[in-house]
Amino acid sequence: MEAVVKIENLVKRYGDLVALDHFNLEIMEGEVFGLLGPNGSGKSTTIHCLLSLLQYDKGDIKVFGEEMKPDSYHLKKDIGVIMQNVAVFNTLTVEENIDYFCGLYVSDKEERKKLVEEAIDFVELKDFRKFYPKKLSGGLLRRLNIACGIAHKPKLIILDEPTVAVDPQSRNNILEGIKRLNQEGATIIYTTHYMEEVEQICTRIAIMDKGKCIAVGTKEELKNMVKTGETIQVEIPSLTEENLKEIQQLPHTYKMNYENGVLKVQYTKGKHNLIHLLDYFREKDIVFGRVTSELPTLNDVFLEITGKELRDRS
Amino acid sequence: MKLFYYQLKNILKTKETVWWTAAFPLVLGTLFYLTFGTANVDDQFSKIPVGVVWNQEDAYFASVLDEVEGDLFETTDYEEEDAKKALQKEKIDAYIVVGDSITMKTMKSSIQASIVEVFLNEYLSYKSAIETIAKEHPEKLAELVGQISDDSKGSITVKDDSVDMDDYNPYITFFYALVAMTCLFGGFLSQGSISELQADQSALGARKNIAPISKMKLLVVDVLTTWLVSFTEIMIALFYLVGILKLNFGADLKYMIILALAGSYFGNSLGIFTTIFVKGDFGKKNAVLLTISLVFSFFGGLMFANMIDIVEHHIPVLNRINPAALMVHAFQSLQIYGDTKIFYRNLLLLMIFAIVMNIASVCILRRKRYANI
Repeated sequence: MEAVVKIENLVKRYGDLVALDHFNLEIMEGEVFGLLGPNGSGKSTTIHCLLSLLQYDKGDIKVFGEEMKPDSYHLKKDIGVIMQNVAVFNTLTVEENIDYFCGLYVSDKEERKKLVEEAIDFVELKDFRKFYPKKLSGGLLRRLNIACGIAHKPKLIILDEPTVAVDPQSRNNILEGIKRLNQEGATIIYTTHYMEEVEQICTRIAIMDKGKCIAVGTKEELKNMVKTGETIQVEIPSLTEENLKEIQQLPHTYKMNYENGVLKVQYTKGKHNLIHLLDYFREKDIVFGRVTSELPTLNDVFLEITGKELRDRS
Repeated sequence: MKLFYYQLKNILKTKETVWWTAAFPLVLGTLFYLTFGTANVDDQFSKIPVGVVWNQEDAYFASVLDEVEGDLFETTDYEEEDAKKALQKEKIDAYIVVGDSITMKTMKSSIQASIVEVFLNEYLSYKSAIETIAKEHPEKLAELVGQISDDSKGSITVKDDSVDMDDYNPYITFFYALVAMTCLFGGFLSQGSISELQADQSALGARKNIAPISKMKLLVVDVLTTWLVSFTEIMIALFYLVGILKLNFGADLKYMIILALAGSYFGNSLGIFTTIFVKGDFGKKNAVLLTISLVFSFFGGLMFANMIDIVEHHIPVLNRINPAALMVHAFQSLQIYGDTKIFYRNLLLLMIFAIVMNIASVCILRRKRYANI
């Protein structure tokens, strides 16, 4: 498999702020590659540098095996971009918008007409083709934004946080659409700070923080990088110190916390952790309430590596 | 062609911009007309009272004065002291001193004084021709004087139909300045287009910069569409003022078209220039363009008809660089002096300024990458 995108040693500074700090990335053909990181980690800056929109201080960027430059039109014709901000003309209808942007890539009239129809079908905007963007809801506007970016059937599609401020149903539609695009042969780069999205669609994920790539791999590979395995929470009215010590001694127990009647136990790898815990409660006649078990998330990965959450909590 | 069509639709459907560039000048023109558009009955142009001080005889100059006596000037001979007194008492607008050289004296700036000045300048430029013919072919002298009087040579008489003093409306300057303002307001059209071409100004700009199409090609499409729309709006304004309100602009249709083309091109260029070189958000760029356009228009006579004359006598260089003044003066040169030389000179200056702005703008627009988006 060929590397569709290769970024080496990329450095971008905004004055004293280092937005990208010797950033490296390689994306293979056919992947749905997730770029995950909190706000300000450098995801959009990476995309803008990749597309030759931004000057950068150092580094090499190659797309389809060639150096990416602002006038690399032969490379750009195979790239489709869906930016975070909706980029459509409010003065043109849905159909006209898609036709306009497709026209920047495809000059043949007949072929463009066919592509525009397919794009409208793909994003399910058939009933809205004569509408102006101001009349569309947020979710439909995002779909139009996507249609404008993919109408020309690019080989590489870059989506920069396309689901910001979008309702859950539209978000699901977008994610399903991305999967279909990938099935049709496109390589996808997807940036987001929502771990649920990358977990749902991405084949490989890079986690970014402060302009660096701190971890890269599949979901499973990333989760295996960290100590944290399963996390079990149990509602228990009372536990003695001795109970807590004994629970700490159970196999694979990594961390434990008992507060406000809730016992939270984090395990490293290992199976049957829940059974061991419940067996203990039965032996000691400890009464318990609700029990939940969670597998590790990418947020756990990020938290363990950086000490921070992926998303700011206000 | 599709790009051109969509860009044209994009411009025409942007209501706020169309209001400023198309409807507002018509509204303002109507207000001007209602206020003083028909006020040419009592303010009708009358022959300019001019004194002449003959310190020595000059038959050639005397014969030329005879040509314009009664049409353009009402001349009275004075001694110099009497001429000064007559000037102070405003019995004359200016007096000409005929001696070894021919000079003009006036006390205040006015259109009348400017006409006398132009008359003298024209005479002096033909003077050597008159003297040569008088020496070598005296039989042809009368013919030469007549030829000089002939408008087709751009002469100093006013027998030409394009300069009909009986219909001259001194308030026409306001309408000239209004047309100049309409030209400058065309910059708002190009401002909107150019900001949609820059990745650091709009999401649309980013999307266009990512496409496999030369930015120059997109720029040319934008410039052509905004120029076309701006030119059309100016022609509509001129049709309204000349065709419907029946104002006498003193210019043939062909000169109006030429001025509209040059003026709209300048306005377009100014819009592009301010978008690129003014730092800040789009609102700020808009405000700067509006301020510049109104200041130029003010000094071009939009609020005081004599403003160009006042500036000419205090800081004349301002009139050479103020695009509104250049356009107003171009119109005046046709209306009052019947002089196409000044008309074309002013429009050439306008085009030069526009081209310089365009070159500067393209140098920045050609920038391929941005420091910040």
